[in-house]
Amino acid sequence: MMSRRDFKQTTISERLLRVQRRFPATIAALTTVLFLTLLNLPGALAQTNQKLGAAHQVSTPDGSPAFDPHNVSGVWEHEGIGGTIASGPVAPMTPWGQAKFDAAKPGFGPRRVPPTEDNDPVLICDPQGFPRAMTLENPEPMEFIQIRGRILQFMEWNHNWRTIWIDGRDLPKALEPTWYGYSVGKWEGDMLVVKTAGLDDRTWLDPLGHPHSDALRVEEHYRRVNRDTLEFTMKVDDPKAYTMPWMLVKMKVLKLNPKYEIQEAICAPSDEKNFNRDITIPADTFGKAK
Amino acid sequence: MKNRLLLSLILLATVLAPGIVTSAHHGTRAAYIVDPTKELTMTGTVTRFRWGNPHVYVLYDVTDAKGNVVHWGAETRPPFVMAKHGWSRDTMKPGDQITITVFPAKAGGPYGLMSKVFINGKLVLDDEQTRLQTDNNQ
Repeated sequence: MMSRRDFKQTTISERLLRVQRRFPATIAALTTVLFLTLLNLPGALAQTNQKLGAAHQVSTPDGSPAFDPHNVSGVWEHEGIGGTIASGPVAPMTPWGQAKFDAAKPGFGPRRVPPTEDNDPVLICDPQGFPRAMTLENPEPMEFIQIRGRILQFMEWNHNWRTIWIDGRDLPKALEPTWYGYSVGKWEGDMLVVKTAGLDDRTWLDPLGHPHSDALRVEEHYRRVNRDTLEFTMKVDDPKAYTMPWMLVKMKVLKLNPKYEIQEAICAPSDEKNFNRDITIPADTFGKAK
Repeated sequence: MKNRLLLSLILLATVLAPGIVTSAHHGTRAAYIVDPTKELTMTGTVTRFRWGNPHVYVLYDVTDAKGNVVHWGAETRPPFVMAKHGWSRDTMKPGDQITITVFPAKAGGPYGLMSKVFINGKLVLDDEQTRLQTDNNQ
């Protein structure tokens, strides 16, 4: 027995077959049209993009390439090599902030303790979180993708990403703290001003152990000064931990690298454990009583 | 032959290129003496090569003048950084002969931070200058 549905399907398939048999030339023509359309697709897309970006395209007097100062898309790399964790100067801490700072045992810098005693969350592969992931600590490239209403930032280190909403919304009044917080951005002239709140106080601001509370507010400024250069600064305001706002990143100059592909660089707890067992712990504690 | 020479020069230029990216979270947690006058150079046989985060490292055996075998370990940078400089998980394998220069561990054991490495006579890493610039604060 053939059901009504089977019958219908068979009929449609048969009809199609008949059409194919009868009109091979039609099929060939349709295929050709489709092929030509696909061939022309990148051109068509480029034209659309040009139209969309035309309002903001800036021609530079010195003849350097045109760019849209209101678009931060691209793979961005640090200028020069990393190696610096310079931030600050750090604002004076409140007693609450100082107590948290004293409890932090960094693995690096002037207050460094041996690897068996440190408690920097990233050394057990806890999330670096925001704002630490955007500081000078990370020299790895980042890829920014700006689409309608938002900017997505992909960070090579730890395979992280965050969203900056640029659709005009304000920060929500009540936010449950998260590792990367909630971020909204607005263009003020050619400066993208990004405000972030709702941050988990388990993260440190830097590898030196500077703390923050869940009252932390962060303000980032991005300015595309030419096609290949993006300037970035970051101010932290945390009245519970510091007596005044301060610059966590005074200036970070990012350079466009269209040829670079973001790599995978993940902090895996099992890798960390093997490395500590084979190298870090014995190298640091050799000859000392355990 | 000419091609091989060219290839060697390109590889050499790659490993010698300055600007290996470093930062605090890739810094060493074990303390090393990053001082050009304290470096140690030795030849040994690879027993284990580990390609992983946070840092790539090698374990190798060195036979001293008296015939005693000493097990050494040396670390370098994370895999994604080393990959940009031509390294891969196959760069070393057990049995390879390496001539390695390290900044020794402060604690005095057979551990070090890689400065220069030759594998079977071929230079594969020269990180001395970058380390001196960025890692001499410990």
